[in-house]
Amino acid sequence: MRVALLSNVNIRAVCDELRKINGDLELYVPDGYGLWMQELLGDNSPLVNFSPELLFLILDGSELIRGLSEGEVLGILDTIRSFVDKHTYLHLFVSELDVWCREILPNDVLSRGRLLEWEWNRRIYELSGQRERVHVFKLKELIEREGRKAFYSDKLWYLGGIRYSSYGSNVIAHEIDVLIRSYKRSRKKVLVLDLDNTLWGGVLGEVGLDDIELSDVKEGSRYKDFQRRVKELKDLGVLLAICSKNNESEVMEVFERHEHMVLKREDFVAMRINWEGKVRNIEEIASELNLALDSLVFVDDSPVERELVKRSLPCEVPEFPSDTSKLNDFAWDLYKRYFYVLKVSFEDVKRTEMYLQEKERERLRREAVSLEDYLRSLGMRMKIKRLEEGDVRRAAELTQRTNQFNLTNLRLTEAQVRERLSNPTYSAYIASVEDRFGDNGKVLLAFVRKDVVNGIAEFENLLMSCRVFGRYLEDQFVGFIEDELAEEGFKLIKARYVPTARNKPAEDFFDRLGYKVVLLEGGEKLYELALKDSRERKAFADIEYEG
Amino acid sequence: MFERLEEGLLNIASEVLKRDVDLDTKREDISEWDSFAHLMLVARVEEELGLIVPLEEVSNIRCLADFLRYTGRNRDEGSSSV
Repeated sequence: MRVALLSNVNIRAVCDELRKINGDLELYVPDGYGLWMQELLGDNSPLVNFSPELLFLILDGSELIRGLSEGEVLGILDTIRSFVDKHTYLHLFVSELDVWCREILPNDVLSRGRLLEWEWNRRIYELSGQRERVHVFKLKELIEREGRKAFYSDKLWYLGGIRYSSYGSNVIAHEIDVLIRSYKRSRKKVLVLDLDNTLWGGVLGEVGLDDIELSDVKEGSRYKDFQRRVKELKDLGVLLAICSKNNESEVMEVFERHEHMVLKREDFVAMRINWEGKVRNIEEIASELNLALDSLVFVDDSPVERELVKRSLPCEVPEFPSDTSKLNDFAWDLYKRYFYVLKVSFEDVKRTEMYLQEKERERLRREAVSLEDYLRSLGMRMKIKRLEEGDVRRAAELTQRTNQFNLTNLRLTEAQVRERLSNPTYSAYIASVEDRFGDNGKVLLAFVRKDVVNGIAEFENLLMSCRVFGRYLEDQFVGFIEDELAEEGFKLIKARYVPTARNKPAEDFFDRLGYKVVLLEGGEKLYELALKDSRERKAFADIEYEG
Repeated sequence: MFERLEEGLLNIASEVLKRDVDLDTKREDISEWDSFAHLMLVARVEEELGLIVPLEEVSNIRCLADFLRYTGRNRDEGSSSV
């Protein structure tokens, strides 16, 4: 991945550290650090020629405002905005400003730096709210956390134009790494939590509901705070599950009766509260949610349980703080390491609700006389549309996160999705599905490459989120696209299946639809279908096409 | 205490200079020890080992052992160059 770092101070130490953390990055850093504005302004600057997917603008506040009026400083934001609008292939991280006022002033005078940094910081959050591709680099927050004396170095500044201490540079580099990983959406999906001494203090079975530590004040409030943080993670799209050795009925009583439980039953998508081994329970949770074990993070205060799980399963098992006054920090650490989110999406907000709806569907399916009867009773509506700018984020997310029904396993960044959007040889379709239980969001995606001259179209990739498996929606979706292509005059459709460790569920999909295998090589299948052949597709959803 | 300091210094130096070093390693002898590496050495030695190299002394450090002159004991008076 191509990443560029621009700064108004010497950040070579940051780059060196970043290379150590992540060796796969292709980094661009200009030679001199006084040139960052020219890099942004020039049409043909080395930065523009490098065309980074991500650009980090790390600005030292004190240096930035030196000798400039307020209008001039804030005017820089206009330059930044027009740069982003012009270069649509990149995401930009703009730093907050921190101005350390060293000027000798009367006690009662507010420094210019305070006012300016506040106005700048307010505006970059506003900008990131308006622009999908603009994000904040929370430099001031990092400096506040670590303290200016530890973060800055006067000695390095006077000797080498390096503003930050070696420690400060490391903190910046690690933050960049967190942001890159979040951008790539390599985040985990489920937080599996123990209960006793994790979500509350004490052992429920021993002390009873009234004496567990969980309160608004003093000792018990550390657990209440931790629950608040966990709830906030859930609101960002992290699924929550419980894995606890307890009597289920006693735990349910806590949920119903304890006034300080921040987390409610409906915040959890799966629960295993029993006396079985945790390894087995976690495996069951993963399979119930239809998710891979390595997308789970298991949190438990017991080192024995952690060790057992760590040894047997590929899920993440972070250390639990032995000093529980650190639970807030611990929650933040979990957030940054496994779940960090730049902007929250519709799918993120709805994720828990969707999983719970799925359970309702599951119940209906078990009660139905036949599968077809069940599918008809769902009252499904599929809304299909051509991919637009507003869908780019979700489309990239689908290619990154979908493992099972992912025909060619082509992972795309937002920039690559955008390339296809602006390329006339591609058609891209995305579909959302609703039924009587709720909205599943956008769950189907197809990229079709078109050779108009020869009348041949090819599915570059076809994906479906596992949350709508088993409803023949993929058949209908493909059927719809086939009709479109036939109408556009195409004669032949090609498709491919590229096997991976996880996409077995899609192995025979095109065979089922009557496509012919024309080439078979190392498990990889190349298919063809003549569009004049009759095609019958199972259909249980009403289709709406939105142009 | 002094030995631990030496060990810490050598660890930092081998990381910054990306090669094997000992206390007699001289700045003029190895190309990796350029002016940027020099600053990184000073910064990390100060931050991680608690030594203080006064700004005016920074350019007088010619080999790794020179850092050991700036331990807490003579922190205030510094130490003049050879």
